Amino acid sequence: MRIDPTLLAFPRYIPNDLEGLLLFYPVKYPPIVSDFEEIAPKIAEDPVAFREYGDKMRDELWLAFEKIKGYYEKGDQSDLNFLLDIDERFGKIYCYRFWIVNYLMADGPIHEFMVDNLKNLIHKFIDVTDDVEEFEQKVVRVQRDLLQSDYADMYLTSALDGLKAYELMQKHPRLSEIVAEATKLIDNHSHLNTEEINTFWEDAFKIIDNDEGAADIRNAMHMPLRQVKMRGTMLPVYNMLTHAVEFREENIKLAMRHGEMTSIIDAYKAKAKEELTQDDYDFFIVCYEQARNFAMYKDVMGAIDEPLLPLWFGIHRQIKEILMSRGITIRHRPTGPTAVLAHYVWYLPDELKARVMTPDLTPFNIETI
Amino acid sequence: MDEEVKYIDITPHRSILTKISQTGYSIQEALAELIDNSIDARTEEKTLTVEVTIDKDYILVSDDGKGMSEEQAAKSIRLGFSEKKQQLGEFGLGLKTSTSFLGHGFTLNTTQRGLAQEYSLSYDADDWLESGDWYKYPFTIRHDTDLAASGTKVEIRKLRVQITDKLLASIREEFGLRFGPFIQNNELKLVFNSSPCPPFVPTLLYNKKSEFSFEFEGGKAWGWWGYQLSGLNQSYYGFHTYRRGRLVTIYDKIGLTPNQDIKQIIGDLHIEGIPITHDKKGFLKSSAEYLSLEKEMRDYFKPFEKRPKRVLAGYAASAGKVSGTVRKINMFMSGDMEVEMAKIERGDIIVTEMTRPHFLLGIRRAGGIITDLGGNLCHAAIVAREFNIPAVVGTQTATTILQDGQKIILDGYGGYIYED
Repeated sequence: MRIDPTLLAFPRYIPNDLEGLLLFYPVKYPPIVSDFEEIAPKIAEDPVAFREYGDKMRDELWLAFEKIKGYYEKGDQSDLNFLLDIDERFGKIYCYRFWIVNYLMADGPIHEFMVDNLKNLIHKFIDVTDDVEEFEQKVVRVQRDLLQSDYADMYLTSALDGLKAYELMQKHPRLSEIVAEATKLIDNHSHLNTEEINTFWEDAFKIIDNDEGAADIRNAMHMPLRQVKMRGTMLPVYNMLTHAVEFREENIKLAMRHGEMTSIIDAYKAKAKEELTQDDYDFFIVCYEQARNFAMYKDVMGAIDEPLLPLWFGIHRQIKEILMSRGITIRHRPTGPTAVLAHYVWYLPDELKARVMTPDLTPFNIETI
Repeated sequence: MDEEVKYIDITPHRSILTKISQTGYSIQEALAELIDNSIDARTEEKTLTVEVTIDKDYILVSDDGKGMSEEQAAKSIRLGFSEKKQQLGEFGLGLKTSTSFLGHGFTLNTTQRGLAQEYSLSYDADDWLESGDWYKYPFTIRHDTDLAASGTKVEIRKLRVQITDKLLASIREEFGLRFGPFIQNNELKLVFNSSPCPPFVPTLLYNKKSEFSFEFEGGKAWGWWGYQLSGLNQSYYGFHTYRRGRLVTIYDKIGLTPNQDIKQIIGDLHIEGIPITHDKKGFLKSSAEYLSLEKEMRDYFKPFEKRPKRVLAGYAASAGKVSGTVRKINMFMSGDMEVEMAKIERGDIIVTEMTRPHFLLGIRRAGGIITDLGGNLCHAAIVAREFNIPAVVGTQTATTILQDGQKIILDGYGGYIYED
């Protein structure tokens, strides 16, 4: 084991903890600490075990989500007690089946350890040149490629989908002219054109949405189309199309680079194997695989956000509305998954306040969630 | 005490012609000597074209300048012979030293417009060492050549240097740097392996250049300066110095403080009046003229050497250094997407709690990204690396400390933010 045991202890700090989960979850769900400390040594240095664990967590997360959702849909949604019960269940699955993979591992000290060591090992196998600038640039480039890996995250997928949509629209008999007109405006790079550009996209969207021959385009645009429903605005579609046109040339290069990424990374691995000791090489592979895993599983686990967050945050709104309907003034503040634990708890009746603030010592169980 | 004076033979040993190549040249410097000679032969009427061709077996440097007269051509092989005053090739050594450094032999052909004669000299190190004669060197004159042709061609054979693709790329880059002023002035078209060398153009902060000139004891200096952001090799700053338009030193720190970082002074410095070393690689630093200029430079640049103040630190998520305007963007559901997107101008530095994929358009337009949250593998870090945008993530307080519209410098190598 190369990882210092202190890094495998329950983290005290995570750089991505916007929602304050680290503050509330270990108190509300205390077994999470021992759960993490039991699993971390088993998966921290074993990329295959990490993926198996991640997949298991994802499967149980979705299963539990569907169960709770069904329970919520059948229950009395005007009952504050019931809504708090649902919130607690969502909190529990988020804590035990999402948080470990997506935050405690992927953003915690183990992630830093892997990234730092990957960078150090790259320095060891890159050919030294007389020119410091050239050498460091090479190191930076290799770092970028390896941290990027051959995995396409949501941003890259969006860019590549945009390129695909753009190419399909250019070939579409009813869309090609619209794209050409919009392109002229976009290439001026002025915000003053945004409204007019969006008008073109509005026309394009009507065709994309209804035309039988536009199924491929709809498919390439599935991400912004989902966002449209979630956000209640057409802007995600407009932005995607503008992006696809504005960065069309860069996106072609991006697609080429992504297409070559597997062979680029294979070449780095071969170089590392040649230059490093067997021990360092094995460790290099572990660091690379884990860095790739941590980035990839953010998306794998993050897929739950789309159905979970609107439902969960909707429940928070219901809780807030019920409290306000009782004449309680609630100070406005942006909230996330810990909305009840961090904010609404102050406005609850005493018995419910006590319930929310009482630690849940029962370990997670998919059967009883 | 009696004394007598004898007259002895001090004719140089033949091996001197091979030994003079051991001057510590780089290949680029040796080639530059030959191009210097071509530049000295340019005429005012037209742009001089110099073509450099490097093959694994030979190097060819040819120009369409005025060429040499019979006497000049005949004496070009003589060590130390030079008629040039106030020109680049004033020591009369360049042709011999550079060709001997690059190969075991060379041929020089030269012709002048309207003469219908071509003069030719060939040198082979092995033949010369075996049977060379200082007093009877073969010099060929060809008659009935093209009356309209003019120029000089030097072909170097039996190369001593190894040619690699990397070397070729480096030569092209250095030619752009060395002969940049001539190329920019349209005095020279330098063609390397069939394609023209572009002049080196430094990336200046705000594209701002300031001109300066000094008169000092025994000479004068002039040029321009601006700021650049430091690269990975932080010693790459200072002046490219020129004498008679030809590069002498690069990244010369004359009058500047050592170890400048973040915002570094860079520029061109033309110097006249300071003696130069015979290999033309530097000025004589012990000379009174040099010391006088150094003092002038130090006094002038002192006020401009202030280091920017560091205001924030985080994870160095994506490499690169960039200056720009802070644009605070709310990418959460609480933000109005239309309003937030409209704020972002190309090159702005986005400051946000964390990035969201549906803001991809704004992110691509950004010159840099700073987030409060996240580590090396957060989405902001990944997207920044994907699109080559310098980024610092996990600063915790960027959205609080940085003000919309503020000018800053983002250092994605070190993970620091500086006030500009």
